[in-house]
Amino acid sequence: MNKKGIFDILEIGIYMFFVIVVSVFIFLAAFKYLNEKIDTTNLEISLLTKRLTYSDSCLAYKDSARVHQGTIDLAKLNFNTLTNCFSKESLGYVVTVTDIAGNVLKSASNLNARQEAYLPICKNVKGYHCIKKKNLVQYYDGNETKTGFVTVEVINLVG
Amino acid sequence: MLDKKGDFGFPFYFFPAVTLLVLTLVFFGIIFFVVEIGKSPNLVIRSESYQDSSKLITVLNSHTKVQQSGVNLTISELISLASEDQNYKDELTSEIKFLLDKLPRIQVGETLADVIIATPASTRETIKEGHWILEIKTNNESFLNIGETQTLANNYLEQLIFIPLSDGNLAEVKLYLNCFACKAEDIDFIA
Amino acid sequence: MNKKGIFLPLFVFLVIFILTVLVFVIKNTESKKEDLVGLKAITLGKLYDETEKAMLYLDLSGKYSADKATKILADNGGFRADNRCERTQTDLVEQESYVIWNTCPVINPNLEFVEQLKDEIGLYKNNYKSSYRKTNFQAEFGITRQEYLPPVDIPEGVEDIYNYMYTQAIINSNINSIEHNEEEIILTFSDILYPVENSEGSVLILTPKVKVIPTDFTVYSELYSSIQDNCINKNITECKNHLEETYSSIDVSNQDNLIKIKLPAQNTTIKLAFYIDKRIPIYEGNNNNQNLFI
Repeated sequence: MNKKGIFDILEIGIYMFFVIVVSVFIFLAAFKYLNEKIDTTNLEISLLTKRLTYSDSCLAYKDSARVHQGTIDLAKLNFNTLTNCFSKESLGYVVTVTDIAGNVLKSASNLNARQEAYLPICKNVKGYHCIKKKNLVQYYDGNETKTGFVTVEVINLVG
Repeated sequence: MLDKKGDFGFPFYFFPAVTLLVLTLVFFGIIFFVVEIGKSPNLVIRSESYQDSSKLITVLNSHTKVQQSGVNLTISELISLASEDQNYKDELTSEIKFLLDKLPRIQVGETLADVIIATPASTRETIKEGHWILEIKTNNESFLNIGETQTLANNYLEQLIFIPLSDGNLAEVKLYLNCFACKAEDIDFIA
Repeated sequence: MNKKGIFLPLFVFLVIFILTVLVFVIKNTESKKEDLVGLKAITLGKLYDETEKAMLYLDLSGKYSADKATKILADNGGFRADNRCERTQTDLVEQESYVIWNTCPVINPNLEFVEQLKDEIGLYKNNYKSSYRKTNFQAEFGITRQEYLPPVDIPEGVEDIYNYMYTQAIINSNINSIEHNEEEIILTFSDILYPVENSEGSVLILTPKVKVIPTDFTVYSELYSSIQDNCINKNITECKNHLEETYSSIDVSNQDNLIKIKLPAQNTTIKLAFYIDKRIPIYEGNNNNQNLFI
């Protein structure tokens, strides 16, 4: 190769370098925009809680007149009802009802074996996001309606 | 660039061009990756916009210790009774306060205490937490206000309902969170 | 500068152009976004809350209406306010008037109670006010959006079309049927349609059912039996004595052959009058199991 040839290769190399740098830059900018992370965990747990407490096919208490939305029938709080109410492969949840003093009245879940094992150590398990929410709620204990709390704990496979 | 004939203009365009390129990449890099121009701040609906009224409905349906004809009255019914007989106002206040204390609370972070200089510890404790406020109006006039509002605080998660009183009039009942410098994530958590 | 030397400056300007265009494209796409993740679900959740608030209102109305109806029946000797009975005259001494049983049609407190209950609930229903707040996209999310408005006639000056519609829906509803047994009275309203906000063709249907605990009207049938057996066409003194012995808190007075009774019962006072020398109508309504279709 003569001197001109070396300079030509160098020239092409430098230009290619600039082109690659700029191309990568544009690609990263576009990729970042198109793959914007959408965190819907909070929204999902709110909707789940609403579904659980508002729907007759879930936990809502129904008397001779109507379905009382926002009132949990303790008799309905079991694995079967939860599974029929809402099931998603990657999402498991635990529902606990306590009285106004905080004493646990009843608890049920739709967790599979893996979710049950991971839930207590969720923070340390990669790819899982757990969230717990507590709400004031009415519950029916078979005799009368009282005020207490419902805690919904969700384990969600995100990655 | 440099060929047999030579390019004596090379230093005059190469370095400025590269400098301009670098500056361009830095400038647009700030726009795309620091300012995040492509980020949609409101893409997912925030809890402040849920307009969820479940807490207020639960409070109003809660039974109290006050009885009438051997039956415990709910908060709604006690509001009606207190509007006719002011002697029941104190009991109504204490029943509602009990329930408001049970609603989820948030803690404003330590950074707030750092920002506020020379704030007594007791005051710092008060302004650290958001407070739930319940307001009742009858005949468009204030009937009862329960909960402490804070100066410069904002109101969040407002819930409103009109309930009937036994005399046929309406009572306007409003529940909201009053909080100073609350973060959106904290509001999300208790919504 | 030779021909090849033009490449780098040209390249730099091309990069600036491309990146500027990219910024504008992204900004333009963002500004055209009209939808938010979760908006439809949250709107439905808001609507369910609205129906629950309506039910809370109707439940309370039912309770207060039942209390009022009981008091009105007591004031009218077991009849509703709008009854066909004659009443005693008032004067300076006697400022209260009493329904005269002898002038009334069949005595059926259960039926009268249901009719009065319907009237009372109607008054509460007409006072209903929704607290629904339409989504303000600009204020809450910073986006402008073409909103779908349902094809209904809205009066001028109404700012929140959905609040107006939901309020009118309750006010315009009617009681379709009433089921009545010993333990409860269930009033079923007509179907109420709630158009979902910004969702063409989507409607939530609510069929309100209000449960009311019926008043025990046994006291009326017992009082009727006492009067029928011991007062009608009997001696006035014996009649008064019998009533006072049977009901310790009763207040019995007479004006010639007209007897007036005030009997405290069920947090109210039953008031009625009757002539001892005239017949009283028959008493019905011991069977509370009725399905009344209106």
